[in-house]
Amino acid sequence: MIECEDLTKHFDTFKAVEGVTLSVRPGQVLALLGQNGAGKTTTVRMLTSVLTPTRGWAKVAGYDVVQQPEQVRASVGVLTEMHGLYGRMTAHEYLDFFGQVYDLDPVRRKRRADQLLEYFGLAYAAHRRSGEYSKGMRQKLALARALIHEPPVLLLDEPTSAMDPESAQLVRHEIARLRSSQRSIIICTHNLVEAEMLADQIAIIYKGRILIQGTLDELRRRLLGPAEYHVKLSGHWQPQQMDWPAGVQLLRVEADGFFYQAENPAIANPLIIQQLIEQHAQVISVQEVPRTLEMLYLKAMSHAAEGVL
Amino acid sequence: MKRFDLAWLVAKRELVDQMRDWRILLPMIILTLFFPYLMNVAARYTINYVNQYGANLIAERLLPFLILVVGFFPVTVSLVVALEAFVGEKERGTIEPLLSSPLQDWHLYMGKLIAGTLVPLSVSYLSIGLYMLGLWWQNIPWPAWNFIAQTLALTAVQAVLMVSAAIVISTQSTSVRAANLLASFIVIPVALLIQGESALMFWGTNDVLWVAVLGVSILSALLIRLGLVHFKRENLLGREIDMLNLAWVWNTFYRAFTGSDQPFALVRYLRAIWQNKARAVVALQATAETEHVPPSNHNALTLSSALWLDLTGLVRWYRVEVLGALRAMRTAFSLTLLMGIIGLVIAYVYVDMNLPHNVSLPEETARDAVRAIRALLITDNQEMGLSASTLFWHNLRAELLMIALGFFSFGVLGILAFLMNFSLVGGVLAATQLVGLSPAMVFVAGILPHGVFELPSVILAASGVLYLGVRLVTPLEGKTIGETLIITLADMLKIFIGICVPLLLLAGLIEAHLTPRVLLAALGRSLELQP
Repeated sequence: MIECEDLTKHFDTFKAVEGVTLSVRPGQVLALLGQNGAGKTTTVRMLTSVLTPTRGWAKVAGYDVVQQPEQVRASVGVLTEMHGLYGRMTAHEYLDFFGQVYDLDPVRRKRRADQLLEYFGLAYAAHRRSGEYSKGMRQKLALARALIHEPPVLLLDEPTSAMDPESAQLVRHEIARLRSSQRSIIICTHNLVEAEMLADQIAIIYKGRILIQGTLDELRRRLLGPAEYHVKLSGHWQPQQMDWPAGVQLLRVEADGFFYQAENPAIANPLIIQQLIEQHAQVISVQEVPRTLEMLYLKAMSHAAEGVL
Repeated sequence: MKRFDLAWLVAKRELVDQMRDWRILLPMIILTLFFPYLMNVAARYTINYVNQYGANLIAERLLPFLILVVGFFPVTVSLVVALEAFVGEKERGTIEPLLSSPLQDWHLYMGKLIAGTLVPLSVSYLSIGLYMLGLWWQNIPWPAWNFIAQTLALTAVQAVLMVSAAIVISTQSTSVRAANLLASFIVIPVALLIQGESALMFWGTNDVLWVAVLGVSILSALLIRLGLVHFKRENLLGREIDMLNLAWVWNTFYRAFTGSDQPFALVRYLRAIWQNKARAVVALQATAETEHVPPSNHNALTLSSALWLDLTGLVRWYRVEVLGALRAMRTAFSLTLLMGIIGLVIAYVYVDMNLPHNVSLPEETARDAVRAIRALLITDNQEMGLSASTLFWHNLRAELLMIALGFFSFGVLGILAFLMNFSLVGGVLAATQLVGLSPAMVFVAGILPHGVFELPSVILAASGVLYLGVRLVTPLEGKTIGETLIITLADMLKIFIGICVPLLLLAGLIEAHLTPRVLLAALGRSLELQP
């Protein structure tokens, strides 16, 4: 469980993070999105008790980040922006070292290291120095380090950056698996497709402040309005003949059909289709217009720049 | 939780890492093998040369000195490892996983300290071992065991001193480059220290070297404490750019020293005059162009009101700032006073026990002594021998030197200078018995008249030095080393400028005009001579 309220960090006069309030329950993944320098890493560092908040409070796995920093750090697995590997250590030595740091007994250390190296496909290179690893291999090893002590909370900064598609997919599967094992996870990422795939909650941070947060559907509704549909028709059709159900707004008519927004599509869509059939309109397709996280993100950013959000 | 195994874990990883880095290993191996050989050759040739002239003593004193040299060089080179202990990891991005782990600050700090000390010290002792082996091989007699023990101890404490200073630099630097540049602040003082130790060796005052071992150990302990209390995970990750912000330094100091953000009223007044002058020029131009220039509102402050404001500000400064600093320093003052009295008494007792008593001077010698003292104190035309300004500047220089010495050594050298001063007074007072004078009389007549002002001034200045040292190794909540240093320096200067300097001025006047007369009168009576 990760909870924070009014979490704020100032460096002298620079306001890095201002009044961040978040809540990530066990089994949830929160994607923290934002530009470079928006305050994502500072937020993560406060949640790992590396930085002390200027104001506000945060609890991670039930521990207070200011009062119980060691317990917080013991309960968190962190994947930092830079992989942070010791180039002259082998993968096995590296995981063993962090296993000792997290106070695992020798048997468990070995078992976990072997498991993780096997899972991430690094077993064949377990006794090679990590300095000889490719970027993707290093990222996988860093992720293995974050998981070595099976922490209840994971804070992952760009978990799949520099990875090939297969490895990235592997990591995404691992994150999804960890979510199902009741862990609370925060991912800071610029990969919006990945965030869309993994996150239950999205928070967009801009100049240290959370602009907007919620589930993907909530964000879609708030930023882009109700769901949008495209009806594709064959032949001539008169929109004036339609009796639009409540909560439906016609957006535009094109030569081959029209677009509309429906507050309650479950009720509105069958009524619209029924009318079209009664009017002998030849319906080719009715599709929800895809609204990606990228669209949401860009909308949020433009709102922020205009001072609307 | 005191778990030393975690500190050792950090150290062990670092040691293994060093052993795998040829850039560290190679220079160490070369130095370890080459320097002992070079010093052996140097020893053989020097001994052969000086023995031709029967100067066996030089050879005898040279051998332990060369042990010191052999031990010093590997430590200097491997300082690089300690210098990049934290900042190097920060640059490589390996520090954050460590900082995000449950390791406590002291685990990380001590781990790095152990790793930074163990390798150079082992290499250093290995070098010394090879050098000694070389001496044995060449049938050159080894120095006495006492010498060897001293040099081994000195090498160890110097290594710890250098590494602990390097680690402090490493935690406070923003880049390895900056840390390496700052290394000269370690190498140069330690090289000077070794020169001093060498002088003591050649002088043959070997027992004093144990005092040097003790002094360097204390300094190392203070450095470790300084590093530990100012080690902040946040600072390691927070600072990104090396920038000397002089405006910030000045503003922090000014605020701490004056207790206000406002400039002096007189400065504001002069600034207003200057601005009005500029406005007058603008007004003239504006009149020519028939434009309206708003009247100045800076005329409210007159010269007399500015002076009055500054005067009341000065009173407030004494009442709030100087008294506040005095209150903060009261423990340091009591300790300094106690140390001064103990130093004075020990010196008095030591001289009193070691000098022959009842030495009666011939009457003519005594007269000559009085004449000499008189000539020193009062010139023929009844002018004072030493002017008040000379005495004031001399005392001021002495106090400034004491502060400067203390500033670079956590107060240790400053307090030593203070103790030497008080011990000298004790020794001289005891020595006055040699010429049949009463120490009490000399103290009352020769020291007390101006000492009433001078001694508190010296004690206060020394307590400021002690206070500085203690504050540096005691964390101020939310303050960096730089801020702590500036604030403490401001406190110290409040006392120095507000109390010590005025007291020295008074002491100088009295010492020049009153003390000589009182002393001469007393001496005259004592030696049955008229002044």
